[in-house]
Amino acid sequence: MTGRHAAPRPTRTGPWRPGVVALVGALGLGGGLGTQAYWTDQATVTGATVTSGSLDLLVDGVQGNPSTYTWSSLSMTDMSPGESKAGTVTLSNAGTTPFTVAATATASGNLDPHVTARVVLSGSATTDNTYPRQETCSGGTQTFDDTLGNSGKTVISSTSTMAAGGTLVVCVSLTLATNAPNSMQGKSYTPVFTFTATQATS
Amino acid sequence: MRRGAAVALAAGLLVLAAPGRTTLAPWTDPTPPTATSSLASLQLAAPTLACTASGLGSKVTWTPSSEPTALTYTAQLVSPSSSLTITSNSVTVTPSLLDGLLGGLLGSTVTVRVTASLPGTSWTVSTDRVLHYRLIVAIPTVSCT
Repeated sequence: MTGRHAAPRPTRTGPWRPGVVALVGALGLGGGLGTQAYWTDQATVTGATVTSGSLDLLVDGVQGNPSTYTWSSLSMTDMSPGESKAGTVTLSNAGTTPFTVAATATASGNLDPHVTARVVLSGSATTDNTYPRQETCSGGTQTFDDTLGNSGKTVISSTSTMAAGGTLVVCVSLTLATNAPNSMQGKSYTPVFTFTATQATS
Repeated sequence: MRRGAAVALAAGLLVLAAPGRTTLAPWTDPTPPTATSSLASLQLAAPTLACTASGLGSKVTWTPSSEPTALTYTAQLVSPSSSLTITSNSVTVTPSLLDGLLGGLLGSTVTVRVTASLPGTSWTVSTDRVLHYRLIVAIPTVSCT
């Protein structure tokens, strides 16, 4: 007899044994997923070109920039005190984007302090060829009635939205004050109107 | 506390996800058109004066202007100032008239000023004509030269 005694081999019990099994299983599954190759396909759809729109404001059908549009119907020579000249321009939306229009104006020349400008949206200009010539803008909505000065005054804050292809008539009358002093004989006056179109956002 | 931070982060992401509302930049016409006109005021035509002998005096005449409408005319002597009577677009200056004004100061010159006015305004234009008051063959005369 050897007298040897073998103690009973300890067995591991507890919650970790199922965890090991799960880990192994998960690794096995994971390995399988990593090696799968899914079929794929790809198709290119053509013919759906996206182009940007345009925003383009014309004055009497011309760009008016960089060459300033000459507003002939608003010009007058040999103007006497109390006389006035009226003329219209047609603003048009030649682009694809609806917009509103604002306008500023300046004036130069010795007559500036003695000339009153009146701006009317959708007005029409009367004609008077007999002294004293007193043309005016009839109808429409007045947006400005004052001297212009050389600092740039807002004469149209904003029009209603002009759709693509839409038009709007702007009438302006210029009046030389009845009390313009004698020293204003043979002087000049040059107004410049700048029209700014801004994309309509609503 | 941690939940509050997550809510704040989510709210921030929502704001960033909708930038169009806050950064919308409407198009504007890159070349805004400009339009210009011009006015020129009237320059009244100055009277053109003609001077002719009229007896011992001188007669100053002019052609009236009707641009832009019939102008009105006045005439006067300058220094000493005295209005003159216009007859058919002319005035006549006689020795007797000047004798009363100048006290018989022969050898003097007088200036006739004719002024055209645009009715209803303060606009005027004038032309002067110098006359001579002197003795010619011992006779007081008003002459053009």
